[in-house]
Amino acid sequence: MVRRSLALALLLTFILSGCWSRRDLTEISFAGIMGLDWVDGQYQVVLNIITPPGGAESGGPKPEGTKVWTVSAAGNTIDDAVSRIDRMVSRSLTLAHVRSIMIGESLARRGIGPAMDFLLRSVEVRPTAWVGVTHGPVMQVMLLRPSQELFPAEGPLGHHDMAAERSPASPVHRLAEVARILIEEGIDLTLPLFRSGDDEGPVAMDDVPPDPGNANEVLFGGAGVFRGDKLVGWLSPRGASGLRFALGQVTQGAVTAPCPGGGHLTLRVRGSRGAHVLSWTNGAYRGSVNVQVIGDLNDLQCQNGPAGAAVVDLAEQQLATEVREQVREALNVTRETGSDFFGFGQYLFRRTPIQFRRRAPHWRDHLKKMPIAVQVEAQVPRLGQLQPKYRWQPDGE
Amino acid sequence: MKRSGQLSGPLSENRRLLWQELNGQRGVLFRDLLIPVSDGPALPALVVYLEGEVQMDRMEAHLVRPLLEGAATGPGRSRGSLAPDSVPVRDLSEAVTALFRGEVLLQLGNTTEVVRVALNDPPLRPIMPPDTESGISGPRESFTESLVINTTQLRRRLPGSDLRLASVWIGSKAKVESVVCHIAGRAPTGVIEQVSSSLQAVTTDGLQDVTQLIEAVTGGRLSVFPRAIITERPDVVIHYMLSGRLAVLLDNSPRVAIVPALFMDFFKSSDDFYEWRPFVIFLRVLRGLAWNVAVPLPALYVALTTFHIQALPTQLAMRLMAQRQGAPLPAPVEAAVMSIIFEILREAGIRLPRAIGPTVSIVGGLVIGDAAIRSGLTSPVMVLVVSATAVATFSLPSTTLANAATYYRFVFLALSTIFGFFGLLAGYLLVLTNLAGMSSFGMPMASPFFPLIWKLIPAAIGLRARPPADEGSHMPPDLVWQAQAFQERGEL
Repeated sequence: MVRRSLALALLLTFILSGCWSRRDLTEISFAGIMGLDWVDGQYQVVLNIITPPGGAESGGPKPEGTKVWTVSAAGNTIDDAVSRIDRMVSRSLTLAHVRSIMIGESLARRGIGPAMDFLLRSVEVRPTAWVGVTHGPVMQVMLLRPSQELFPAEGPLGHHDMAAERSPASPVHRLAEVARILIEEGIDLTLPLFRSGDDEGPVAMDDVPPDPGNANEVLFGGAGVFRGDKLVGWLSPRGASGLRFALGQVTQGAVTAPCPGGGHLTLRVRGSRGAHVLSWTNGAYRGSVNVQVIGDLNDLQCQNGPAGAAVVDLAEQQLATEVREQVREALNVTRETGSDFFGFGQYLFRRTPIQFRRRAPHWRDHLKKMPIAVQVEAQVPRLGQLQPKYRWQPDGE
Repeated sequence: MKRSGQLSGPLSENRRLLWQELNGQRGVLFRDLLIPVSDGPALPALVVYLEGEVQMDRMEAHLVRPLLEGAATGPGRSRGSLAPDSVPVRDLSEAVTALFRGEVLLQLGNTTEVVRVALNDPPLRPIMPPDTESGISGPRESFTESLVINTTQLRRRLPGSDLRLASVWIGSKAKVESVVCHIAGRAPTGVIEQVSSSLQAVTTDGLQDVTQLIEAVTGGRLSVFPRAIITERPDVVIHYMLSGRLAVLLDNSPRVAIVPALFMDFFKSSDDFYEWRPFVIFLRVLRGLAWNVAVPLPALYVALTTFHIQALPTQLAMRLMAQRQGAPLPAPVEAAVMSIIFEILREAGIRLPRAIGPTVSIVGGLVIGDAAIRSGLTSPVMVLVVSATAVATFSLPSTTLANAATYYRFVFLALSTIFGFFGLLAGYLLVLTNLAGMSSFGMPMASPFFPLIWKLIPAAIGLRARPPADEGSHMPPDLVWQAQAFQERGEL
């Protein structure tokens, strides 16, 4: 009986797919990026569809030969808009290779919950797709053709994960993670902010300022801050970096800090740990963010700076100071918007769910006023400099 | 009471029986002799032989002349002095078989005994380098069609009384001798008995090759997995016999079957016995990969490009899409057509003379492949898939396993064309299930992976040393170990 059941189960796998679900590669339109926005009271769906060049004899797509067709449609629902696009393209449209999902500012302010619900329930969209938010209409970014992407339809989020590894200035989220944060209690969402190269951005873009020469490039840095599923504010690149330090997500990237006597030094981060805790003291909750960061001194341009072992002390001190400032900048946004993207509420919920639920209606107001201490411990184990032996000496000395 | 078909009567009676049996046979000559006897009347004698098979000068020198000179009739003389190899034969059919093998039948008038005398010298192929199992290391000898030469080659490599040979005659119409070899104390007793009884139970008109014999023993099955290792190298046979296997030789067959065969044995090549062991392990892993490329690759390609596009990495999907632009045939048809064309080319390469065979491969592989791509009839990636499959098939050491790979490749291609990846997966599971239930002369073929015997895994993947060479070794041969393990579990 067991054998028969197992054999039947095995045979039943045959009907999971069959001739009826066959689609040849040549009959399909691939969408690489999906943009979602809210325009004139309707959903707007923008798709960057990839059109490979040539025929079988072409020997494969060339960067200059690959074309991207940006096509958009509006609808009362997202699926309605997608169906309209499906009728516009001659081939069968598939969202199976959507690697990036861009959300326009107006849809983000209206609420991304229904959109995320649709995307997660779609059998084609991968839960590993990157999600980002644009400053302004999503179409502005979708029409850009980044110069370094082999397939422009993959950008701008195509290689965002790798870029984010190198730079701490932007959070990284995939669709499944976004959904998890949206449904979990006590934590709010941040999404990476994308803009065109000549856009000034919603906040001070101190890392890459706008440049008309970069008008075709997609820049990222900073983050959109959500309360629930609605966009309520922005984090600057420094603030986003502070958030990622606090969450222990920074494993590489550069931190530049000023020297006391003038000049700057740059440290390469090798790793970080972060923890945020709540404590009940004197009848009130107090928060604290503890960060441990380890980095190497890479470039020392301090004027009248110390030499020898004192350089290590200086580097550790300046690294700690810079990270502390970044974390505080992120905390200021939390206080301004009431968005708990650090997850203090989640900390409380996981330990005492009853206490959190009792305070949940007023938690965001409470968070705005809650004192939060920041402690940063920095280590610079590798000096990486050969001072003062090879320091330049003026003539005559 | 004399039974019919027995050559135990006087000369005239036996002559009549033989004449009746051989009546009308072209080339059978009956030669009557009158042997002078010094103290009495001449003694009649009968010599029966097949024209052209017997060396006449040897017959004259070793048989006729000694008879006429009275060598066999003098006091103290026996038939042993007639010829170097004379054996009494009583059974009529055995006598006829010997006659057609080229031996001479002789009966003297004063006896009721017929003897067969081996005076034949059939043309034999000399020992040549192996054709289908060429290797880099090891001896360069292969078996021939002569059972005598083949057994001699084994005895030369294993001198001593430990090499045991047992003859079994098979075939009702064309009797052929089969020899089962094993090394005393190495092969499990149960396996020896099973092989011997299996061979004795074979009922067939006649056999020409040892593969037919194995097919006759294990026939009536759907699975195409081979049940015996077929080799043409004596050194390989010795290595396997040292590890507890049995060798089955058949007269007129230049190949020898080694039984029982485990699935992992088919991934061993003759070079494995001579090369540096860590490299051998690497090669076996490569061959395992080659099997997993040779069987499912076209089916996997079809499943991924027509059913499960989302499973492809985006960059790869786009490249494949670009490659297939303008391809007139659907991917499954393209895969089937290209695979069939390749099989035709392979078959043509084998059938044609050696001087032309490589030319066909070049013309087929390069010219036709290139032309097919340039004309847009097929995509370059399909040519790549079929070529990679072909190369992987050729890297399998066993031709019978390569044939099984070809068979399953087409089955899986059909399954994935209709049912996609699930069809391929279900087919693969069915094949694995089938393999897990198969046995070769009592030994589970998927052993030691199914049933799982941990202590035998290192030997299966080549981690353990070569088969022990001396009798006093504490390490039992592979097969004895396996047999012991199965006996402990009550499965053998």
